[in-house]
Amino acid sequence: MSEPKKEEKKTESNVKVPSRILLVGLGGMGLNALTRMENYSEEYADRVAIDTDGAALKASNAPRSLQFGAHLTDGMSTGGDVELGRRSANADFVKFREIFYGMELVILLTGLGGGVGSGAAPAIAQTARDEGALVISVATLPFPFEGDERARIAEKSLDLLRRSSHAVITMPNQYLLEDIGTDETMDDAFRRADEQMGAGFRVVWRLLAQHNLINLDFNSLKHMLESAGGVCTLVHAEAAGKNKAQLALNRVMKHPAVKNDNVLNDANGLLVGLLGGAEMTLLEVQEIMHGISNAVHSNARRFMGAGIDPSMKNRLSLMLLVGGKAEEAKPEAAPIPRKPEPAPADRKKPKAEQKELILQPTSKGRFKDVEPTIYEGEDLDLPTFIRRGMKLTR
Amino acid sequence: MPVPPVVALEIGTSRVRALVGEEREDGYLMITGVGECASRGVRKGDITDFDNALSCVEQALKTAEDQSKVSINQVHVVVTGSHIQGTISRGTTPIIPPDSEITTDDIEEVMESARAISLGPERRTLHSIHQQFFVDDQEGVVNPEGMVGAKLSVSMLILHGVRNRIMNVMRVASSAGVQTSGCAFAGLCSALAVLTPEQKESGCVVIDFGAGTTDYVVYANRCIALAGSIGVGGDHVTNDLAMVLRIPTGPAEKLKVDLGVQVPGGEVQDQPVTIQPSGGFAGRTARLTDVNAIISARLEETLEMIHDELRRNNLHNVMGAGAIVSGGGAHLKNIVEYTASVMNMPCHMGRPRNVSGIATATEGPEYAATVGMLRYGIRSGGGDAQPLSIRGMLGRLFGR
Repeated sequence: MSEPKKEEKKTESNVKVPSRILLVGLGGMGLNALTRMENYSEEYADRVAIDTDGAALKASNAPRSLQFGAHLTDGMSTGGDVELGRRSANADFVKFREIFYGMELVILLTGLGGGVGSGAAPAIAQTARDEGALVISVATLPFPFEGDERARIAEKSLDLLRRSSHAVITMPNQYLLEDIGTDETMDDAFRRADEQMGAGFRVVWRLLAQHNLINLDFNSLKHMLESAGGVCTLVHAEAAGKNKAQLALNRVMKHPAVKNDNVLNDANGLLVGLLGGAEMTLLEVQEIMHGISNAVHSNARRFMGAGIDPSMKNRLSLMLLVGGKAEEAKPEAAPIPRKPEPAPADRKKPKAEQKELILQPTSKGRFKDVEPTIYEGEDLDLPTFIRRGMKLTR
Repeated sequence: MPVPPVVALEIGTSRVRALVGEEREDGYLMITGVGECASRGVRKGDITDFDNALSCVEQALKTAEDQSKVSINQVHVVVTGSHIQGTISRGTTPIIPPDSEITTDDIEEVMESARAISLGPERRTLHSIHQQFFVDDQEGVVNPEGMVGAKLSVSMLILHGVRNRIMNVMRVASSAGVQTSGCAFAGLCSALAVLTPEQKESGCVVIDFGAGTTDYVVYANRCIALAGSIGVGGDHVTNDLAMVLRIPTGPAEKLKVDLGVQVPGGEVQDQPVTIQPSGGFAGRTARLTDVNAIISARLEETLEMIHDELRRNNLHNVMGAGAIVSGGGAHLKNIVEYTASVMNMPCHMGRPRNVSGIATATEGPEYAATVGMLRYGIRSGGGDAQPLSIRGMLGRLFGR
């Protein structure tokens, strides 16, 4: 490790068969995010912009773009019409199959609440999934000031998206407000959020693409996402200097997305990705893993990968992908009907509703290995009795 | 020349059934062979374990062969699954020159244009059934031939499903060493077997409760207005009981069969229900009200999905003959009364009509789809391997 140059060469020659990763920007919010994440996709991920709006596609700088539903929208935006977005996606799904053909990992960036994001994203994610890709959707949720209607639309499509993707990473816009600098412009705030996401994913595909000190493979990622039950949180932090491990760890732990909802405490799956310069020490790796492990539930499944990136001299990039809530992993052991969960959950905030839904995969009995029957966003394989929040008389 | 017997095969979620039959001169179906086998490797109407499904099919065909003393070379296959959907497609063609007489060529052309809907490469059309013609937007034309107009339109119900899933079912049959001479949607087959001409005329909905799916076909305004399949069946009721009461599926199935569904309004005294021990399960008691609630929640939901579909299409008020229930689920205690109450319309048990021969197959509602397939197979040309062309089929569906 003392010879960075040699290490660099080694890394180069150790590149695995390139993963086929596609970064998709869908709709207005998604196109912006795709543009801002441009610098992070490197050679590992292809980028494609998707929208109904031809002008918006032209304005984006993605190497490839795909317009859909043009005959329904006259090549314009959907104007927030979710149904139009959905129909457009279904009408043109053959186009999507072509771009997803042979992809291993599809990361779908989109904003929920509008027409294209809310309407088309679930259908597009499903198409990617049907083509055999591992699908991670990154969904931006509207600001509270955008109104209840938008929040409701977003919530509904988030539920659909969660079913069609392997995992959904939500980025509530309100987090942007929480650690905002007083004079930060809107553009800066969005950029910061997207760049953080981009940097996080960069760690993921770097680790997937090369042989590492501690290897991360595709199956680990898949297992982690599957055990997560659908909703994930991704945070990333970078630090430099002598104390970089401690610093990066602190930043991650204090991130509003981690801190606010107690996600670490409730996690049932966790993936830690580390990228550092050739000088990264085992002690640093241990410090970070120890710090994170202390914060998570002992039942949580942990995966990690750590690799060398020669360009990261004296810097450390830490990515944390947290999935699910630990208590939902248990229904096999505890009698479900006695859980007082379903009824009160209805009255809680949207967050709580997601939490309750994660319960599903383990309580499907004989239908757990077959494709679910989804009707208007509900998984009909689950007992109606449970879905309706009914309780046994005892 | 005698018509060779026709064989219908249904690879259902709970049972695999093969029927051998021929049509008598009086129009009755004479069933000469029945082969039946508990199904393995099928979930919700889809093949999940090819080898298991294959061995069931082989066994059912063998039994049917032995009983009917014919060698089975060709079968007509019943298909179902929640992937099967109905889409109403409308085609229009100009009459050239305008205001001249409409010919059979015009009719053929307009039906072709209605059939040509884009379903995507992974789907295939199972049936295209014409509903009504429009001549210059005059609705409800039954036969436009000889009428005069500038524009001819037709609305068709296109039933389509995922190609691979249909292929999988067909492939199980063909791997069992028989040719498949076409397939038809289970719901349509059931309707064909159980409905009287009067019921079709007055409007009705056939609900076929299978173990894996619930199929429905709606007759309204003198045509097949809607059809589809919901991926929920009797297995779900059993599974719900097993999951909620935390008992194995064996006792859950028994509980379902013993108790059936409770008709709303009827007062029930709550009492403990003993669930007998079996295998590694120690047995326990549950409350009758709980069991009733679990079963009726599921059935109510499923029936309401069909009722909602009727309401969305504004058909719920034209079901003069009400609901007709068939399929294995029609044996569930009180299901007829329960369906009547949830759907808010009269309800009857649908048993195969005009069938003679082996008693089991002639009486049970669970044979509706397979018997219907036989009838369908005979009318679509008996043993020959024509894919199902529906031109004229509709007339026959209504004919008797």
